[in-house]
Amino acid sequence: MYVMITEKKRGRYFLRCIQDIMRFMPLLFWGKLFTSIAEGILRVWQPLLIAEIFQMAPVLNDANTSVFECKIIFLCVCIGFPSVCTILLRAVGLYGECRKETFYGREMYGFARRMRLEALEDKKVLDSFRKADAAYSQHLAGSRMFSYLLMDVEAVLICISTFFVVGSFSVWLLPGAILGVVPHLLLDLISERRRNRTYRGQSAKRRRLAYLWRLFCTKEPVKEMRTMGFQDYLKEKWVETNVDVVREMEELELKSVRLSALGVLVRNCCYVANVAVALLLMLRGKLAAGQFAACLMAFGLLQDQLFMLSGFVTALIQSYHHVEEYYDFFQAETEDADGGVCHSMKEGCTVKADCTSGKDCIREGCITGENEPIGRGSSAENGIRLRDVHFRYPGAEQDTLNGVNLDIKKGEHVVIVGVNGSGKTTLSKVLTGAYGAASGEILYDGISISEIRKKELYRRLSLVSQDFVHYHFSFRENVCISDFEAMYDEKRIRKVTDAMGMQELIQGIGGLDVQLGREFGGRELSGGEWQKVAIARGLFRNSGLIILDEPTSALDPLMEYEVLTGFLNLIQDRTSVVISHRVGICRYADKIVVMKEGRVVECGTHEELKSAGGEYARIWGEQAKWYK
Amino acid sequence: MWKGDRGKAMKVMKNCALAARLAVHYAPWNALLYFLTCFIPGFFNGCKVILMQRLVDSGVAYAGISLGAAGVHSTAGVQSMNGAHPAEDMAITGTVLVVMLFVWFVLERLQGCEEKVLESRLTRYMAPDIMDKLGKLEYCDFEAREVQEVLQRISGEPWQNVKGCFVGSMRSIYALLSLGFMLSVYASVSFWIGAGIFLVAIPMLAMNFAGTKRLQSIWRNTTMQTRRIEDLKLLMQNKNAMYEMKIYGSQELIAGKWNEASCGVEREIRKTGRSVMALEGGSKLLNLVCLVFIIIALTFLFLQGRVTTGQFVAVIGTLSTITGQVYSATWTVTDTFRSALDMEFYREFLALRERTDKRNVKSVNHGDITFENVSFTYPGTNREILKNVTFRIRAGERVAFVGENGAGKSTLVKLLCGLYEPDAGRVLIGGVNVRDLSEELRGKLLSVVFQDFQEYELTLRENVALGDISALKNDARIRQALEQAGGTELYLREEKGLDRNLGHLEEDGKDLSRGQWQRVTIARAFLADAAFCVLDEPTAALDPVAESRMYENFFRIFHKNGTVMISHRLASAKMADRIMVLDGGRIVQNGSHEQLMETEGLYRTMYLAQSSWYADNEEKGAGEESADVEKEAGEECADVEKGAGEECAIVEKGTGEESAIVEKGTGEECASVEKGAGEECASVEKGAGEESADVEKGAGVESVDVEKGDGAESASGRKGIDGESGQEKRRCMS
Repeated sequence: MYVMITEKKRGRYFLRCIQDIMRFMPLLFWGKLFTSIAEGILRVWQPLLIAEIFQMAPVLNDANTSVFECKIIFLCVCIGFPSVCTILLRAVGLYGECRKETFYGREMYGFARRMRLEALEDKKVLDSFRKADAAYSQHLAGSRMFSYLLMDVEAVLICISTFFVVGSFSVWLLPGAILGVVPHLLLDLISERRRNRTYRGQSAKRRRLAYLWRLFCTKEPVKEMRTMGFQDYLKEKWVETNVDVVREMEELELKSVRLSALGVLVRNCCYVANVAVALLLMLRGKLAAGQFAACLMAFGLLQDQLFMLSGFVTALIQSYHHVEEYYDFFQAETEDADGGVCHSMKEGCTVKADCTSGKDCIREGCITGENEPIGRGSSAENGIRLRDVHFRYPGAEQDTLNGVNLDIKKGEHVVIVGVNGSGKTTLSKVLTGAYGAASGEILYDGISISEIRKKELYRRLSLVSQDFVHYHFSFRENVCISDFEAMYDEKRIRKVTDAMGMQELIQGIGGLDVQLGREFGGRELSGGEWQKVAIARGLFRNSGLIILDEPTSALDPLMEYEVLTGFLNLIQDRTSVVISHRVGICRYADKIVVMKEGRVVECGTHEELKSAGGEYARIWGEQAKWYK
Repeated sequence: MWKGDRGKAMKVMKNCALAARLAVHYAPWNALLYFLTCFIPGFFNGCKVILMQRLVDSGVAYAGISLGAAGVHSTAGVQSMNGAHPAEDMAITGTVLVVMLFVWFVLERLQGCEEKVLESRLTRYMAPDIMDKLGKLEYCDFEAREVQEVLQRISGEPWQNVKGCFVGSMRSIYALLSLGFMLSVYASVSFWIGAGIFLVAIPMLAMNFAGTKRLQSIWRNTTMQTRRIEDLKLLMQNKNAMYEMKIYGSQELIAGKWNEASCGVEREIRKTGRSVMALEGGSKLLNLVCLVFIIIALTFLFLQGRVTTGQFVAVIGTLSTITGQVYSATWTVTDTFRSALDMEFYREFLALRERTDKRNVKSVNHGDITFENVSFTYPGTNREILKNVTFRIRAGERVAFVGENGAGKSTLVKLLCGLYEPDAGRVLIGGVNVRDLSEELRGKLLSVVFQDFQEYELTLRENVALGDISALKNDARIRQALEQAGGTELYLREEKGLDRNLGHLEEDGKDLSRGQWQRVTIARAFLADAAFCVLDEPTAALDPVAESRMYENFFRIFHKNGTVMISHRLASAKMADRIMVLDGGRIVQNGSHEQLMETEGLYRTMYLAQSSWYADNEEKGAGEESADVEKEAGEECADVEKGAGEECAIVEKGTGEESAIVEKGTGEECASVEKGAGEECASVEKGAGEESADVEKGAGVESVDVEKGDGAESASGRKGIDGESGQEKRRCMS
């Protein structure tokens, strides 16, 4: 279902990244590219000009003064030009920092919003999600790679042009110049590669170290650690793991220092040899004194560039890793805003054509909004029907839903019960279309869910999920986010908050527009209060179908009673699906659906199922016996 | 403003000194080596200028001699040779230069290597010390908001900060030394050139500093927005949030908020960025002017013969180096400033107060838990969570605490575990303050399953064995504990059995559902086999069948041990010998399920509310009736909640009369205090308080007597009774 391109072709994102950079900062792109190349060529003129000035100076006369002055000016330009380069480089850096969220972030999270929900169940996708986020927000993937790329281009150009200049003085100088650079660079790259490999090999251990370390600094684990006294064990574990990591690191560094000493030796020998050759050439009269000086400076230049190059090349490789991480994320499958799945849009046109009619049908049907009369059609067409629905989580070995058949009629209150892991929550997610079923059909008013525009479908649903979200927004936004166009409909808010018995709470925190959550200096609510907010959120939306997943787990008995009765009063005229561990609520349901191992094993009213003596009777008995 | 800057500078100096001290303390040789690799090369740039000058001069002199050309400047060159033969001089200078360059590059490599080694040494030796210090902190500091930031920084990699600060200060030494020495070399060539560069360098430095400062102000000014962005990102990475947002169509709202925040950041950076660029551009321009000035001056001096060829070449050849030095000095120093300020958290961390509990009592006579007039308010808040709570739990007794959300149940558990020091009163186990118990003893007396229990990403074996580390290698015990907790399927079907990894840390690790984690946690408690097992709402994530299984198991296995449980599900409370009802930080009811059900009160109300869900449909009439009752009860309860003092007092009195003498004591106490408050008479209240204290003491003694009378004197006898009554109860239930 979820396809990830596993075979990695190096450099496959290179062009894409460059294209993005061109879109991202067109002016800076061309400007910086130009100056980098210019700098790469200009730099070598510096020693040349100095040598020529030096040559000319003793024999200065009226005739060549103007040439001399020109050369001086040119030299000034050559020396001054790097300033322009660095300024532009800074601009690239700043601009990259400045627009990273509005460019890379917008692109990435825009994509994330279109992603299919089950993709987020996949560990690999989540991992790549986090990596991609860090890649652009911390490592500035694209713009940083661009900077390093240009720096490399610059350094390489300088080296090449220096080779040319030195070679033009004498061919004999060329081998020394090249040998002074290339082996050292290669050795550096080798040790860098080794370092990378070691780091990658250690990543699991490092993750473990970081994890254990965090335990020591976080209050919940500390609480358990202190009461049960296992901090020493964890500490020992940390120390043991760390010893390995440290030993490997130190060995590696020792090796790399040896390797680079070798490189330095080779380079310096070449340098000395080259100086000697140049001296010899000068003594033979094949090299002017000025040229000799220019040579010396050129060799110095090469050494400098070499130093930078070995740093920049490894930096480039590293930043390219981040670029890969960023673009890898875009491999995930998306859900088209208009309906079906993006990647399977081959027959998209026909699907879209059907959509309009589908939309109309649905307006007539069972899950319509509040202004539709209740219970109008009782035909089999009116309602939700699941036929042999299968679903498997990405990466899982077995189906979580294993052929579910279910009918929900309009206006019915359905309760789904079952033991942990029986597939209740998954069923609700398949029902809402958030998860695409692998096989089988889901019909809304007789129309297959795949033919309905997702947006249209979602608009008719409401939801209180098990792990509902604590938005760190205002209280009002927390409730009204389910239908934010009606954010200031005080009457509706009032209706919902009254039903949930929240007036006191609202007054307590100081009004609807108070910020919630400590992170932004707002009020913190207790678990039970948050749960009420979540239920209010679900109720606020005027939807035909409302799904509640474990709505009262954090509430005490009195509050539970209060909240559930308030809830039941408000949803009398809507279709509802409630998932609960507490079978007590089943008495109020029109239909009880009992799930077991991904199948619906029983279906009926409380009385029917209880007298049937099956799974439901068992669960009910288990729970009710405590209250007798 | 200056004052602030001076304060900051002081902080920077202090932190740098601290970093150096720590580095020397944890890795003396590496720190020294690192210092040397920074200090020695500090002279190399200047030396390079001198050597190059000599090399060129002697070369020119030598060329002049050997070529026999009457070089214009050869005289000057020869003079500077001090009479030595130019060729010899050239050879020596050349050799020295080459050796120096070699040493330089080796040192540079060594520096990089030392930095890594220093880091690993710091990690290795500093981390255990930090862990020890963390272990010595008061638990309440972990929950205090002021300390949160420090702890969060500590939870990163604090040794990195220390290393960063140390390395930065060393590099600053290098940069400043190198710049200073080069300048003095230049000044030795020509005073004016040295002075010129110096004069230009100052405004350049100033401008660069100003630019960096402005850049940093960006992050300060956009903290709110960045935090908002981070928060929204977390939302969008959360699958549950994504689900909600898809269904609600609220993605647009989120995107809107996101855009608002990110555009705010962009605006801020653009605005400040422009002025930063202007400042930096200005300093570059200045730099350029300076360079042009030097080149012209040098050429002029050269033509006049006041500067040798060597000097001319050496200075012009190193011009880009010196401007680079000016820049790198600015960067390094500002960076060091930042990392030193960044290390402030570590100083704060070291200054955190350490816990005062002695933790040295190794044994106690008996295992009774006693709360004596315990009051508690969370530090930094003003709501008193527990108000003068007094009770006693006999060893082996099963007690349940029930109450509404926020009644103080979880706080009670934290106090019982000795995580907090009560504001008033004492928490004792076996007559000893809990906080004075040694860790092993506390482990033997208490094992706790918290409401927000943790999922440790270790192996299954380790996860269970955390309850009692000595059993880590004891497969039989771990298996047994898991079996008792109903978690056999966690290892039976697994390839690696008990050694399977849980969580995502390892490649082969698998996450468990919350219900499964709960079993693991409970297995941990079984393994610990402590005198008292404290369960703080352990069944919230279990399904009903698993829940009742767990309780049955729990009481079967823990029939010898005492239990303190907290639950919303009153059915489970019913299994306890005694139920205490907490309301508003006080114990308002105390007694067995039957006793409490006979009296009107919070417990009865709550129980009826919950059991009404399970009223049988065969007796539908009864069901409706019970619903009515419950409604009434609900109303009543609402009244109680509203806090009509008198009513409450009456309820309390009622409870008191109908239940044991102990209750009467507390009931009266409550009533009198309430009455006092009603009359708004402080002195009376005080009097009542004193009185009540007496009464209570009496009650305490009495209660002990009563307990004794119950046959508690002989442990075996009591156990027998407990066992019998437990069996009876079970029979009743089934």
